[in-house]
Amino acid sequence: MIETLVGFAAFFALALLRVPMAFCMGIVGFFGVAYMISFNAAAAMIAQTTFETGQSYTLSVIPLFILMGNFVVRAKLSDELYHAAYCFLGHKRGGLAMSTIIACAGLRRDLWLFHRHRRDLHQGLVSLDAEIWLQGCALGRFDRRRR
Amino acid sequence: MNNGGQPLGWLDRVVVPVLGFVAASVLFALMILTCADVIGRYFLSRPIFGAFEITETLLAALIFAGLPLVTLRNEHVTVDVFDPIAPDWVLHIQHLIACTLGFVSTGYLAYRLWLRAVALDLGGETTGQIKYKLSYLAYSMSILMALTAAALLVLMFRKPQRSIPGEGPGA
Repeated sequence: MIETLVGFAAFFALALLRVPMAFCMGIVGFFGVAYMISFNAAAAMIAQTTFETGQSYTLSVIPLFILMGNFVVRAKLSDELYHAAYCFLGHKRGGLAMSTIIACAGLRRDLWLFHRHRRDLHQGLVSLDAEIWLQGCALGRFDRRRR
Repeated sequence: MNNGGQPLGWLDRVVVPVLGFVAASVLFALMILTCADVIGRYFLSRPIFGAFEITETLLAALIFAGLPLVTLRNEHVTVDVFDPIAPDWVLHIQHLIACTLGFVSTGYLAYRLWLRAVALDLGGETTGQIKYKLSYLAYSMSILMALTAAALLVLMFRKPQRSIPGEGPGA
């Protein structure tokens, strides 16, 4: 138990030193395994994990989703969806929030159509990721435009 | 490019365009491959041979080609909540520590990946379907990781950049 707490403390200390998250987790994981098992095990593990995770088929959706998100933004699809939703709801009280939600729902339907065709992938995780990411994008964009 | 208006080194002039081109082509290939594979599988009942493995290899190539680029542009995910209020000397110390730790970890990882590549080479391991030698991939991963370490070393001697919300290219 105490090892876990020390690990978390080390992780937060490193993160606050502005070390990139990837290196924080890698360093803490490496020294954790080195302490709990052995240095050789940790050294073999990092190469193995890097090599295997880099080739993970499931994760191949992430760059593709980001690419699609860029296409969606460049094609002004998100703007138009938002505009349509705003025309319907913008004059009501709380119209900005509601139309943002409707625009997100519209994007989500498009996404759903897309990843129905890749259903062999880990669907729950993927749709959740994409939704959170796209909603984040949408909220950030729309808020800024309204200001 | 976001380098704080400092003169571009050879790393930026040579590595960034080459790796950027490689990463973009790999991403494009990944897109086309997935599209063709899905259409072939669902409509023609003829998936592309070895598409699974090609996707895996391309993904690894994409990630590792992107690493030096991300590093050179300072686009790693970091905790930068204190950036707007931290004084210059604190930022400088943070930058030095971050770059040193990053350099050590990526350098060591490059070394371990190289050892793994040698082991894969000696074992003659290939992928299951298309019999592509895995050691090539591991060697290139190791080289790109070493390049990331070099990028971090270069970055160490550059001025640290504050990320202030609402400013900069990411905003």
